[in-house]
Amino acid sequence: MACSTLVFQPTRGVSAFFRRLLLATSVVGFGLLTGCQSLQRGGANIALGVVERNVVPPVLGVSDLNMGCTHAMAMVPLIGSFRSFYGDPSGLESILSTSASLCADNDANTEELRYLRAQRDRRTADALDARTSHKRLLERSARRQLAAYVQMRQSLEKKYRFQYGETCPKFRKKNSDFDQIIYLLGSISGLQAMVNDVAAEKAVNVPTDIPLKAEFAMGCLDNTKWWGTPQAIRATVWSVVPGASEGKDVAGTFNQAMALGEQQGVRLPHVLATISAGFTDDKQRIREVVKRFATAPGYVANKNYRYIDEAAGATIQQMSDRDWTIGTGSRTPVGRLGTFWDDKKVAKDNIDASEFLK
Amino acid sequence: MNAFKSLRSAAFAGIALAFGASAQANQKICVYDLLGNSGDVFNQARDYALEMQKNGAQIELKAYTDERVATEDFRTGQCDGVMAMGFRTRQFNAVSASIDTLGSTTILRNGKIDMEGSYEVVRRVIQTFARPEAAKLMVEGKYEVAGIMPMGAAYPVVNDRKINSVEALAGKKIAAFDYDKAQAVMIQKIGAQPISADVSNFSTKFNNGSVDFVAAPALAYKPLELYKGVGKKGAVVRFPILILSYQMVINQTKFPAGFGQKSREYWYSQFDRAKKVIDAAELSIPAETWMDLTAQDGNKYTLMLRESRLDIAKQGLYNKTGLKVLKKVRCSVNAADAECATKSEEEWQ
Repeated sequence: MACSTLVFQPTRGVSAFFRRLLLATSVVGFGLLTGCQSLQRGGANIALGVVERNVVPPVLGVSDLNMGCTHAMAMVPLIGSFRSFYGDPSGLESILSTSASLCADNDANTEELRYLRAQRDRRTADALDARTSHKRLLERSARRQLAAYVQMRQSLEKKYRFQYGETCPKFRKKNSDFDQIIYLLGSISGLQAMVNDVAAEKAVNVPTDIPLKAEFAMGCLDNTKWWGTPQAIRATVWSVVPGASEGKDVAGTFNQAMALGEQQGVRLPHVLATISAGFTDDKQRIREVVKRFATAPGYVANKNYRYIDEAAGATIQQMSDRDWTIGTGSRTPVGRLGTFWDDKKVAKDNIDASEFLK
Repeated sequence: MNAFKSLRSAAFAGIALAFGASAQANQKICVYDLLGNSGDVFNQARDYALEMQKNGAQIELKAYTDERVATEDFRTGQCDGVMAMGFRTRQFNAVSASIDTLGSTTILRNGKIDMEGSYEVVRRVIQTFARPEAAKLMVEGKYEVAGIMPMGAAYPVVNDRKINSVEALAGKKIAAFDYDKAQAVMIQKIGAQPISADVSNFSTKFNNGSVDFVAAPALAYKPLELYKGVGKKGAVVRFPILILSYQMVINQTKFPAGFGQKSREYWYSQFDRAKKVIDAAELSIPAETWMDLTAQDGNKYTLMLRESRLDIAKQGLYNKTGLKVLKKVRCSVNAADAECATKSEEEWQ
């Protein structure tokens, strides 16, 4: 209260004496304000640290995607308000914006299936309506994802004094997991923002140099520690940027990354493998990955990052639903993830009923 | 009784129509996009497929990140249509591919490039080719041009601002796409050294210094990190060598009658959407990276491109009918140009 009321500005049209008085008061006010800023910044950053250490980890462990993304949507404006107290909430904002984009993605997915269904049934007006709605939701998603990417860069470039996509941040061996996960998820968000913006007719105007920057950035992370995801991101970029795949084993990289993801309980590499196959409409490869995702033997999700594994599952589910909807008009039946509508049926009716009825 | 008969006839007609429609269903169009199914062209093709459903086509799209494979799959009948750059579709229709010829869409006023005027030329050419009066020109055998959209100007991108004249280009290495024969002719003419390249490697060759000069649209500048090759010394020269187009070509025997016309009209209606994307890409190149030519050089190089265009047409690599249309459209945009007082590109010796 005292901090904010001690700020005066000299104004025109007053006598010299009053101007001097006001000037002196302003200097005192500025000094007090500077002191207040430091106090407020310290307090805000302590509070943000508490959220980072005590709120984020349990949220990353939840398996309810809807709850997680709804929580993030409510938290982003609240966390952003710490700027009023001179704190830097950009790291937290980044991870929350990534999470909030999952809600928009989920809504967009529903509209995409409606569009595909209507197109299949030749209900063109419905299909056009659903496609427009799909684009609007993708725009929303792209805005959140771009925010996550920009906030990630703001937070980490300042903290580690590096240039994203050009040099590597020197993460400390201890206590930098939170920063590393912001770096990883913020990079994925940047890539998603670009793809979603294209699908939304460039409504957001996301910078188009993100893929090659992210490709470099992912070389700075420990691939094994992060479930094979950094290499899977790089392989995704290799498979789409002209010339980037030269001398690279794209398929082998994905296979190794997926194996790591399965061992460590976070299957983000699977999502990236399907996205990569989708670039060239390689339906067979997408199906193989969906099947692998659904049938990994003895798979146990990592309890610390269950939320991320659930998000991966939702994307794989959408890949399957898209295939089923194009083929049948309906999404994947319950319990059938990993199977496809045109799979050859295994004969189960080879009994001799008359034998039983004798 | 009569009413019953009419009803029955109507029912049969309905069934016949339904069968007719399904017989025409599931045309497959192969779409080349640098970013595959995540790219802007493919996204526009999705909207197109939906719109064309109203015209009796149930189109399936397939994304390709390799343009050569996409056009080859079309040529060998694995797709019923293809969407690729004008350089590649020239083999199916040379008239419409005349847009992608050296300097043919460039408008110069007082030695200064008029980019909006140049894009207006492209718009009017696409509009002309989308009119029913031009339908005959859009068909060559079984192939029919089913739409054209702009992809943006191909600007010279150099790794050194000292390469600011044709004389300075002598002996320099220039990336040349093998499948556009005109490029080799032009490079030879200016005494530079052609280095074989394609869409998949020209940026790498420029960024690692293997070539000194590439011609690229603004759309490629950021995604392919051409700014790395430009560095602190290089520049993007505001002098379009040509304006690139994307074209859709179909095997007309696989589509309902009149489909090609409707399709061309649809793609023309999308011109502004495509232009918006081009404008955003051109604005994303930093102002200090652009380099303008002097009025004297602007005039000199426009004339040089015109002469080269005529030479290449005489060699049979460019289509004379197409160039004639382009010349007339250029003169409709800028009647004051000296070429409009001549019969150049209208009458061929």
